[in-house]
Amino acid sequence: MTSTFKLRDKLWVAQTLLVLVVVGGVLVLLNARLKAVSLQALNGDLTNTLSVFQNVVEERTANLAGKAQLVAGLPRLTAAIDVKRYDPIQVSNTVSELCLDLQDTVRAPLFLVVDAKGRVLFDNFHPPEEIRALREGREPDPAKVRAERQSPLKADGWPNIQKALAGQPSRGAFQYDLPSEAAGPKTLAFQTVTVPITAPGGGRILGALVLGFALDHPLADRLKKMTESEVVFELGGKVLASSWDDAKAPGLTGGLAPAAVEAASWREKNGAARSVPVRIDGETFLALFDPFPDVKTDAPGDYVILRSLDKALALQKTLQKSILALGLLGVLLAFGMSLVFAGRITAPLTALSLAAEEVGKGNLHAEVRVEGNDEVGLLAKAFNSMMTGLREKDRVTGILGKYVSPEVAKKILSSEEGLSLQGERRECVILFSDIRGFTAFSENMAPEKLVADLNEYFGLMVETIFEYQGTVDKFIGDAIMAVWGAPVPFEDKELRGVRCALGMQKALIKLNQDRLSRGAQPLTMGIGINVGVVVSGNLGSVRRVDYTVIGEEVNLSSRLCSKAAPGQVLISDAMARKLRGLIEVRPLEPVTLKGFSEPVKVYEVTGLTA
Amino acid sequence: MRKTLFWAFTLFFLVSASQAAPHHKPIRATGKAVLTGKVLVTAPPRKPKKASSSSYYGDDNQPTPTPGPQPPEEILVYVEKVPGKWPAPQRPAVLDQQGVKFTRRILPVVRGTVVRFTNQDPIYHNIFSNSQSNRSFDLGKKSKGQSASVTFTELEVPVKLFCEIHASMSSNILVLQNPFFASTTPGGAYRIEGLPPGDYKVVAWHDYWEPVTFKATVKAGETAVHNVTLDKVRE
Repeated sequence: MTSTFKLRDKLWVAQTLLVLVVVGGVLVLLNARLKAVSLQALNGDLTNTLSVFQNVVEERTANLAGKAQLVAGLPRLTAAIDVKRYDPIQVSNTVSELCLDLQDTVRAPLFLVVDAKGRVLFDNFHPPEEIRALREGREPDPAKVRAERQSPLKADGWPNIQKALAGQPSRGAFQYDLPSEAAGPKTLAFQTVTVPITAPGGGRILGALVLGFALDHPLADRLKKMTESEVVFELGGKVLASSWDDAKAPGLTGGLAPAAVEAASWREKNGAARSVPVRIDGETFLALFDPFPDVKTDAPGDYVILRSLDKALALQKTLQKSILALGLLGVLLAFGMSLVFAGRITAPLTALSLAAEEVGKGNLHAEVRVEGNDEVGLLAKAFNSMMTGLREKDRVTGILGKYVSPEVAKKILSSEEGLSLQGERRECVILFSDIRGFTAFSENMAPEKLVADLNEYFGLMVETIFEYQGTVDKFIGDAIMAVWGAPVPFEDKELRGVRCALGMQKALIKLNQDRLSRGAQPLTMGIGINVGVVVSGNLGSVRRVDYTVIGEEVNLSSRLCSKAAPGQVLISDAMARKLRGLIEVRPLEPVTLKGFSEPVKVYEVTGLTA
Repeated sequence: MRKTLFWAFTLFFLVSASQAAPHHKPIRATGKAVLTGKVLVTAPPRKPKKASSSSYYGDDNQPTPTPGPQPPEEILVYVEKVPGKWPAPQRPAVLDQQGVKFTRRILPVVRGTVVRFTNQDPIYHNIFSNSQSNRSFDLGKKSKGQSASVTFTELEVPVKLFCEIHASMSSNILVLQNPFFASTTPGGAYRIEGLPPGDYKVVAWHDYWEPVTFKATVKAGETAVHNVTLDKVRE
């Protein structure tokens, strides 16, 4: 599958993703840890608050218990109850009067005295009308007195009273219904202490005394101020009082009731308290339930301590935001850095690919800048050295190309064993061509024109030589020396040479037509060809070397050329013999040639055998 | 409460008025003297009984109501010894319990007087005394309307009376040798009439302040004026 994404894009996407994953992971882990720590702290706070709360309640209860012991032991109280001819109404009046007096010092929000039969003798919420009238200095309302006598309050069914009448003090909370004329809520909850009232000395139980403090909003509020936790007194899922305004009670009840059940079932199963999340008016709290059974009805109730989970997690949320911001910054940084980094990696690659494209177009001078020693740097270095190699080869090819045809050059370059350019003897065909009357031709010519004409001529000739895969050995003035058989050996070198010579003459005719049409003087040329063993190899100094052939046969070829008439191709006897049957020749008179003692046989090539 | 006090004092004045003019013994106008004057109290006043809180519902946070001005205390001025025999009256003296109080804080009687105690409250009261010279007694718990009588036969100042149930209730019965005694008016004035001329030791008595004894000489047909100052609280 091929991707359409660039390497650079892949790199930065990968890096950015990596940072995202790392930051995300850190965020998730940190978040979980923070939440755990916050929850732990919150639970610790709750537990502490509960113990503070319990201490406060315990202290108040103990204080109340002390008062109860004192009051229950008051001879005046026992005297008021311990009457021989027991008249409950008189006793209730007497006790009530007494207790109202005592209330000035006892100051118990709930103050009950019950006689041995469970009749309520005094109830600070329902003092007898007669006593009220007595204390207020007015006549009692007979209707009220009658009503009171018709429905006396009875507490004989209350477990705490039963216990006290059995001699056993008890502590606990309970709800108490207020008289209808009392202001505020009709039912209040109290934390109470119940003690027996015993006759002095004898230990006979005369009744029971109940003192209690209210589990009300002021207490909850005070506890809240001490512990910074919300406090709720709950009984059977009903909120008795709380540190919140009473307006919140409905929402509180709705949220608390299921949590109370959950907390109770957990406590029953595990024997320990556990905080339970409670949702109240859109805010989540963690609630700890401390059970208090109603000692009057044995209904399950709880002191509930609540702390806002939302507030506790606020720190976590803030941190979360900071981490998120940091993470985003990191991701952005990573994004930017990976862009730069990816750019740094891919820029050389892009440069390389551009350079490679250039090379493809034939520009061997393409190079890339090498930066650093990394893989990319090494690659650039390798590319550059490859280019150096290519250029060297190109240069060699170029140099060769001046001497040999491209095919020969290719052959030379691709030959496996390599071509020896060392000095050696080998049989070669040597061709010389020369412009006839060149001196006269060049005499009245501007040098630029001369060079241009010569180059045009040479170009055409060299092309023809290359066409027959000959090697241009050198130019000597207006003469050309070409060789077949060195460095590349040819089986048909003689035929190639002759055909090449004929081709050259033909090409010249063509050039002359062109020249004539330009109004230039036509050129004529003579060609001499010889074959024989020569010495081939690199000749020259360290500074300049030419691959060439030397020997007598070379001289003969040159002499033959000089003897050739314009348009004539002269070959040696050796050539003629080798090409017998392949070309048509006309033997000429043997000629005496410079450097040769004997007259030399010469043939003029008239054409190829059909 | 204040109303109760008011009633108590009204009653007290009624009773003291009847005592101020002894009915059992007509005094001859001629040859008798009058002892009069004012009793000043410079000692700190008795702390009033703490007023009960206005609410029946005990509340820790409710401030204790400050009591209003108290009516002036009744101080008894009596002549310690007047020569002659002074028989007790036929009718019994009355000391009731009403509004969780004895109707009189100080009840002077001539030796041999019968004192009748009646409970007027709808609650039980009890009266007991740890009397030294007279027989100490405990009348037991009496419900509303029940009465009991006690005759005080020996001179004793004071016979202290208490209620077993109500610690704040107490009264003092002063068993005296003669009927020459008077309680102060709200203004602090006293007036003892029909006193035979002579030199007397006179006592200004109260159960809270240290009593003061002074000598007074009264002459026939004359009015002797003696002002007294109670300047110490009893120890």
